[in-house]
Amino acid sequence: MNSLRNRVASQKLVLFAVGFVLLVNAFVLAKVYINRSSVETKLQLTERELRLPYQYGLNKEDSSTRLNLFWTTPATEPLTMEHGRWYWHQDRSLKINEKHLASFNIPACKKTGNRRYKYNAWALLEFNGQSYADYVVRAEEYRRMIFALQPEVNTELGEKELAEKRKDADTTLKDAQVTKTRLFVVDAATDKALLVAAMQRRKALEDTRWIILPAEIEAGFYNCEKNEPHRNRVYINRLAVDSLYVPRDVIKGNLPKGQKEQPNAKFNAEIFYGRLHEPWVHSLQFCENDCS
Amino acid sequence: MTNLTKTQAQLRADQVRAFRVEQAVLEEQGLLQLPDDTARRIREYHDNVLRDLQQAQDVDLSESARHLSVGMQIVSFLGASALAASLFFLFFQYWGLFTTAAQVAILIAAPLISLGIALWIRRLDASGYYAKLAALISFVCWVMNIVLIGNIFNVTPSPNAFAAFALYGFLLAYRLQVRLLLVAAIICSFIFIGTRFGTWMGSYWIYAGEKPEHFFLPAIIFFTLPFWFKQDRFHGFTAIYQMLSVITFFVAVLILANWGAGSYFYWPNSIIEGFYQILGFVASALLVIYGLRKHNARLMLAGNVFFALFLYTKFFDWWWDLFPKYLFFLLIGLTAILALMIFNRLRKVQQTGGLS
Repeated sequence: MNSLRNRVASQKLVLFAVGFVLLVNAFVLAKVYINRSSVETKLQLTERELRLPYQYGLNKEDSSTRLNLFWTTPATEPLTMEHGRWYWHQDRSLKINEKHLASFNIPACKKTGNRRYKYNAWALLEFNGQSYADYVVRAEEYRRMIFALQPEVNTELGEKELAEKRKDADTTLKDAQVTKTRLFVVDAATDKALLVAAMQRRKALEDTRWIILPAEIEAGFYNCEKNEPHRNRVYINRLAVDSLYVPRDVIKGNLPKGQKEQPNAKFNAEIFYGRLHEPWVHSLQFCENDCS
Repeated sequence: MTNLTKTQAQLRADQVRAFRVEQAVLEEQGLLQLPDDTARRIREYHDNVLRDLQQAQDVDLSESARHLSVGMQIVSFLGASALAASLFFLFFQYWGLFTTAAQVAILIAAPLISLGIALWIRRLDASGYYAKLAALISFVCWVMNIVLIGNIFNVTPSPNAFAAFALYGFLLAYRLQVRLLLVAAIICSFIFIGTRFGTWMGSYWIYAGEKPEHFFLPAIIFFTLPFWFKQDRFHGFTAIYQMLSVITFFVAVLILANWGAGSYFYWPNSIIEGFYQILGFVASALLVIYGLRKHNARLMLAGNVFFALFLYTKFFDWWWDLFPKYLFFLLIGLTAILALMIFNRLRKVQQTGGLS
């Protein structure tokens, strides 16, 4: 009797396991279908905002293609000689207003010890907008400032050093115009409605695209004494999805030979964002030289 | 006989073997002389018992067989790990060559087919080693199913995936009696409950590991689970639940006892650390007492080990800089001797009780 009962229980476990596998897959696929049933935002990005991952180590054995979203935050510090061309880091720090900061409900900082507060929140992204335009203007101003310098009168720089600086300033401007990302995280809050309101207030340029996405955000301070100046800042650690799988059938053109090892291929990609804020690559066109 | 678990069957077989050895000794000493007919009937009865146990539960009938069984367990674990890695890299290498529909079909079919194979092998092989190996592969296929399907559709990562891993792991572990899968399922459950707890407390789920307090709740749940759901039919499952819970709980307490910044409490770090040090001492001492009362050697040993760890980390805090090193290590040695004396005393008390 016991043996029979055990056998029935075992069969039930097997049926439950099979049903569970099917049910979970059905759930995930239904979620994907709901997300993709409506395109909320379309972005036309290039290799400036999307990077092929480096193919080293185990990645060399990966036959699939992925693209990593490459974004930054607006630089707020003034450009000086010290910054040079290297001022443009992959900056994650973002200054936000008091109302948006309050939405995070960050506890008062402790005088002793370090605390890092991380939140599941929302980030407002701006593509090809005012933040990028400002960045180009700053690069131009920086170049003008460097070119206005005189080696003997204005600075202590020698002629050779100044020539070097001028070359760097030219490169900085060229990079800003043709290679650096145009995708900026410009605001953040835990309440999406705050960002929707902020987005409507922002000035849009001709080709500006906005998108609000879930992100992992960290308080700008972790110690009162050391980080007092950063109290109105947050760090955008990562977007909820910042690596995109590229299905084989949406790739047009050939990845130039050897490019997977040194990912500097030129391409255009159409990225769609759906109802659930999850992206997908609608098309990816590799170009021989310059896609534009 | 077939209703016995593997542990019970092995105990019964050991009992029969011990009886035979003792019987031979007594006969040699001239203390026992059974009539030939009775001795033959007892021998036949025991032969039948051992044969039944061997067929039903694949018990070890000699010391060398027992050693080989341990070897087979290690080899099957290594084999399962290697096969799982092979499967992973196979997917990795050819993944990009399939269309999305083919990828989804392969991902869903992989755990189901490997589950079918595991069940089929279980019917053919009484030892269960090959079936357990196939079950481990099925679990890996399931993990790949969830991870890769999320990957190809750029789904936002979620801690719920760990709940799915855990549930499938539990189902396979109970269906095919695979202890390693039970360990995997419990670890996934720890991560799931810990991350959910972290999310409720307002932090981002990926960083659940930064706050050891997230793991207290799952440790308590899984420690007490065998009290509510008897595990008598499943060889070694109770020990796994309790030992994993104990290790998780005490490691978390040990971390907080030395790193108060990792706590949710808004007290000064020194108070948090002091609180967890006291908690560590009290809880590990209680575990030793509990292990003694329940005759559970594993829990008692775990309690001892963690009590010693708490004690020695405290000694280190107090005396490492204060005393010359020879004195520091002398004190450590003396405390070890003191502990030895206490345990010896306890042992004698236990043995006296056992004899009377």
